[in-house]
This record gives sequence, C-alpha cells and structure tokens, in this order.
Amino acid sequence: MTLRFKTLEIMKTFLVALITMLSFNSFALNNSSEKVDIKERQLIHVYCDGVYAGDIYAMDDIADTIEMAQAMCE
Amino acid sequence: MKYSLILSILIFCNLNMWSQEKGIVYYGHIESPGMRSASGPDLNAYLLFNNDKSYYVTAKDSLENTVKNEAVISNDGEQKAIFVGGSTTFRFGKQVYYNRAKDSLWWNQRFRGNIYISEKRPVINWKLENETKKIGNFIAHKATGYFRGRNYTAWYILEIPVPYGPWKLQGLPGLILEAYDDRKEMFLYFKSLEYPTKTKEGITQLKRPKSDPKGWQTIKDFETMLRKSLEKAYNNNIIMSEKYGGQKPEKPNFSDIYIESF
Repeated sequence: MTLRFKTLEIMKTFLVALITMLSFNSFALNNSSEKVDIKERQLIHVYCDGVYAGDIYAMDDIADTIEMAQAMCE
Repeated sequence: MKYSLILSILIFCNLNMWSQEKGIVYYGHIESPGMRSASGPDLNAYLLFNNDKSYYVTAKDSLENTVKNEAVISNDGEQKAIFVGGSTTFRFGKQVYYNRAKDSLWWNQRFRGNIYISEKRPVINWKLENETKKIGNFIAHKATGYFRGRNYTAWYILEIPVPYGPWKLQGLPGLILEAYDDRKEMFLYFKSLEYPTKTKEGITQLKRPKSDPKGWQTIKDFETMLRKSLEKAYNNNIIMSEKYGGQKPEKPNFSDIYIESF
C-alpha cells in the first residue's frame, strides 16, 4: 500500500516536471519566433537628468522602452 | 541757476525712471537636440528686463500646469529621445541672467543636478538682414548669427531698443521676439509682451535652492563636462553593441546630442 503510494507520488512529480519542461520549450520557441532583427529597430538617445547617457533600441512596447531607459539611468 | 538745477534734477529723475522701467516678454521654449525639428516639449518661458539687466526663465515647475517628472519621449518620426529624471521642469527652472554693466551672463541648467555657470557675455556676430515680418503688433527685423555650433535666425524689434533676447541670445539693436537655429532644434517663439509691466518680480541674480552648491563654474568647465559625457556615452554604446549586437556605434555628433557645441 505504502509502496504504491510512493510510486504514485514519483509519477506525479515526473508529470509536473514534464509539463514544466514542455511549457518552457514552448515559451522559448514562441520567443525565438517573435525575435526581431535588432538592426531594424530604432536607436533612441537616452538623457539622464540632462546628461546624454547613450542609446538604446526601441522596444515594441513603449513602456518597456521607458523601463529600459530608466534602468540605464540607475 | 535755480531753475536749471531743478530742470537737471527732473531730467535725471526721468532718465532714472526710464532705466528702471521694466518689461516682460512671454515665450514658448522648445529644445529638441538631434531631432531636426521643433518636436521636444513645448515649455513656457518669460524674459524680464529693464535698461540694465535681463532675467530669462523656462522649464520652471510653476510655469507649467503639471510638473513633468516622468520620463518624456520626444519623437519626430526619425529620431527619438527619452529624458529620464525630472529634466523637463524643476523648481527654479532654467535661468539666464544678463548684467550689461558687468557684461556677463549667469545661467544654470540640469546636468546631474543643477550646474551654475558664469561667463563673459558671448559675442554673437549678428548679420542684420533687410527682411521683416509681423510678429504680434510689431514689425520684426531679421538677423542671422552663429552661436555655439548652430546658425540662428533672430527676429528683433526696434521699438524697444534693448539688446536682450530669450535664453542666451542677445546683442541685437532691439529686443528679440523670436529665434531658432537652422534645424529648429532650439525654437523660441513669441507669445506676448507687456512694456512697461507692473509685475512686482525683481530682476535678480539666479534663484536656487539652499541645498545647491554655491560655486560658479566656468564655461570651460561646462565644455569639459559635455565632452566627458559624450565620451562615456560612446563607451556605453560600444558595450551595448558588443552585448546585444546591432550596428557598430558611431561617435556621437555634439550638435545631435546637445544644444550647445564646442
């Protein structure tokens, strides 16, 4: 009885690991298919408190672009 | 003898009153370095002046309806810039004070906090053109001149024969109402004029928070700061391109980054 329970537990863990692995692969695949050539993106000047800090590439989402610029200024 | 003394006193008082008569001009102030058009934030500005001195201020919190402390994106479709860290407006604003007797300018700007510069008045070799145009109720005269990396066009009026203008532009035979560089990356336009004005505001030296350092820096210090920042940003761009790929970065052009070039 105890042995059967343990086997079931192991199988459950394996199943969870398998699902996680498959999801991760699918995420990675999706990401790679959406990858845009960085050369096609627009360069944006970033100014931190009046000082030019360098350039970043524009992201699809404007909020991501701002976040990236803010990270550059930290 | 008695009459001529009274007359002299009256003339002196009159002249003194004239020299103390104040005027105020309201402008729109747009800075868009590297954007090839006036596409940056449109800020309110004013110039307060009398015969001896002038005081210009823009990017001041109290002049705007909202305090713009968040990241601001300027975009004209070709070149974009993001200004992070409260660089749009601040408490005392971006100020320029010009004293004719001392032939000097004092000014401040955001550059990792506030920096304060004092310098001998930069002489702009204006070329007075024949062209005129109407600005408000005035006939403005055209002048062109080169100042710190840019060719400017200024429109001035002879009705008010003082050598002042918006920002650091000065030295014409009359008050400048409008000015811009040939890329329109510095664009200063006229809104209204009150002369004489009843405003109680005095024409004083630069206002600044008590916490700011007291020292004045030189124009050479400012130039060094700009050059160092360009060098550092270029190195950042190289690191970024090595890390993420993309085009090999080019050395940034001074006038594509800052309004003033050296």
